Amino acid sequence: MVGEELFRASIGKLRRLLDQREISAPELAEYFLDRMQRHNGTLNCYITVTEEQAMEMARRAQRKIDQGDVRIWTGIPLSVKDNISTKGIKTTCGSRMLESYVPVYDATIISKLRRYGAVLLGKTNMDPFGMGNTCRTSHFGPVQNPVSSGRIPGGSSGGAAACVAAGLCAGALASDTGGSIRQPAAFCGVTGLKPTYGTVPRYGLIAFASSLDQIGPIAASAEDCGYLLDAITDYDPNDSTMRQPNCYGYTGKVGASLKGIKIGVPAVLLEKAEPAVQAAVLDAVEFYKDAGCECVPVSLPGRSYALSAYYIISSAEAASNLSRFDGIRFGSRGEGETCTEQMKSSRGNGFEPEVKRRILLGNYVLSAGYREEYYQKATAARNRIKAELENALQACDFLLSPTLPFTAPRVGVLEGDLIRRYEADAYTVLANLSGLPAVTTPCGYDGDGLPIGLSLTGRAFDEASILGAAAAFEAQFTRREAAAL
Amino acid sequence: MTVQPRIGLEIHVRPVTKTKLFCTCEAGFGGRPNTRCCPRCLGLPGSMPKLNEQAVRQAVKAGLALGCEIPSKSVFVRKGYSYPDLPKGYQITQWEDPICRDGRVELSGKKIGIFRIQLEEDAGKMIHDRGACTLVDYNRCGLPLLEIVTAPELESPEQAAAFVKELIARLRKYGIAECRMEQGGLRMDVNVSLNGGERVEIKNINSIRFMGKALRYEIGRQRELLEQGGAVSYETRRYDERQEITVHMRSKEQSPDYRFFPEPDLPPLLLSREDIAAARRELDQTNHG
Ligand SMILES: [Zn+2]
Repeated sequence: MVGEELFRASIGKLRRLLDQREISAPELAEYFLDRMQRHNGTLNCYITVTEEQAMEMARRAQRKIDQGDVRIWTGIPLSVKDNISTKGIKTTCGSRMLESYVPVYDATIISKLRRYGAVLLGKTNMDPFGMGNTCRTSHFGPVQNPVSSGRIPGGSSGGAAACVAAGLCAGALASDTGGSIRQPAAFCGVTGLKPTYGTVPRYGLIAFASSLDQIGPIAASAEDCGYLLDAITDYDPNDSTMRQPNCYGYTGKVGASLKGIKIGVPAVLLEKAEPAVQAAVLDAVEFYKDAGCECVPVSLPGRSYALSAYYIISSAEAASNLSRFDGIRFGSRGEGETCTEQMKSSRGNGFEPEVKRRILLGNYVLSAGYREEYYQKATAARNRIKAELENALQACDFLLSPTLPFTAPRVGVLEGDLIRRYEADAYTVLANLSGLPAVTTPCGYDGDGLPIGLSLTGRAFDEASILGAAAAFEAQFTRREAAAL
Repeated sequence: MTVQPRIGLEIHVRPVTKTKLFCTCEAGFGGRPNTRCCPRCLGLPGSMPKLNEQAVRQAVKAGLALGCEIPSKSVFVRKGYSYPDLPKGYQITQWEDPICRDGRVELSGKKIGIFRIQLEEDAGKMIHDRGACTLVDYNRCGLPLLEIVTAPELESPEQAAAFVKELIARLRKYGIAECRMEQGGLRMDVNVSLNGGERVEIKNINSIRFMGKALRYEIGRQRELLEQGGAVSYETRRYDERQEITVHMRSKEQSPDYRFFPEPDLPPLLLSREDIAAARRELDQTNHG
């Protein structure tokens, strides 16, 4: 029948196979669960595999298919990052603090996916609470990059990107606070989208930094990302920060002409990238020119404040969001004579080093006497960056840049090199600070065969345009198989 | 030695609402512990606040009833402190941009200023008398509170009591709050200074009678200090109902740092002229009805 190649099929193709009864939803789920059995041991991209629930969901999906009550994602096997609440299924955030936490409610996006028969295969590995960009710091062990076993997958959604790259799911739902979708997607050679802030309901996403967090898809293509965004976008009265009710049709510009489109290229982001990255991104610029686009240089002077602003704001919010984890109701309770002593030991043992670093930083920048010096200045810088990007996007349809200045580092290099890690973040945090949508798709390979990510940043709520432009590039680009399997 | 006391009040009242401030749990009193809770008021990871419009309406009405201005924009903030009765590790409250500000209430010919009214959530209740362990009941957690802050313009314990009575009468008349002290529906912090000196705050007084006693004791204590040539320094005290005295809690240096910042899960609250006019109509109707 359709056999071994199913993991390479797009969501559109799987949809046709399911609808034409060439494969049943339970068969498809079993196929992916079987691949997981074979490869997850090496890759460690799933923290929890929900085999039984997945098969039950697949049977329910099949009934929907038989009744003709079908959405694009009905019966499609997906993975979910382990910071998105799933009722009755462990949701750990990759941290020891929540190693046994089982939510009593579903995140809004999970309810919607369930309602229309998506099949949830399991919960993907991540850096604790989304803090980190290596995916080597999880309490549940490091994730391997399926592209090359000696390389990090990137983080924090390394599990999600790795399982898409390895074909251990048809698509992944993850979250992005400062690049957590786009960095691992770029390092693993797949497509990832951080939607506009306020597009996807966050209710049930365990918050890292509430004003920056956004749920988004990682998939094999821009078109699949569009389908997945359709699946999770919905107006949700539970999330007061949502701005765009019921916007469907994110794949509407896939296949559309690019003629007359104006693309801004921030020179500074190109100049600071490694030569192989520069070359691949410049090739992409040529592609867009040939397709009839106009490419113009753009300057972003406010960018130099981006990293500091990001770390101050995200750490401040994180310190507050994580203060509820005190061992009294979550996590294993520490020893201690008094309530305070107990909390101290619970937090001391439950949080990983990077999480503690951010909590310390966050509490510091909000403390009396320092709030004005740090938090308020960071907020001002953020507003400036947002204004600069929005201004650039008045003249241009979208901005084009490398997703990251380098390709996936060797295991051990980035973990010990704070500066290099921050260089990576400096590229991706711009979209979070400004709230704008950004997609990454592979646009080339370096000398070691490692994928290079191309990033397109669009206007607020115009995901369709950047997905369309990314899809146009993908249509003529030959991707390489993940070699480490 | 004659002294001139200056007294300011921070009065917490529970507005009448069907549900809690940021979730749809019933806003009741008593009952079995932890039966009126949900992911939001328990602060479960991933839950987000959803503002109760009825509570907003009540706050606006309270502002109008106390002669306040109602700014078109107010902001919710997080006030961070760690205590088991506060499940999120922070309280959602208001700070620099409250829902009502700059009001005044006339009290037998004298105008008493209202600095501001802020809308905030209540904490849960700790139960200590059940053997070795302390228990927490979150039924109260997340109930709306109006914090009404007066200028330090009250000149005697009697005047302070008269003010609180006037306030209660207005809030009851307009159906804004029942102020049932036995249910914790009215709680007060008072601050008092003598002859323009440093002020002392007294926390958590839950009846008008106790407020009078606490103030009289505190004025006497401060006067004695001054008479002996000492000075009053800023501190926070609490009222001990049994001994009828105020007791030192903490000095300025020991006061907690709340690390305020805007609540990122709630956009600023915007009130249109129509919203405020509607609240005023409601007020007028209760007045005549
Ligand atoms: Zn509730």
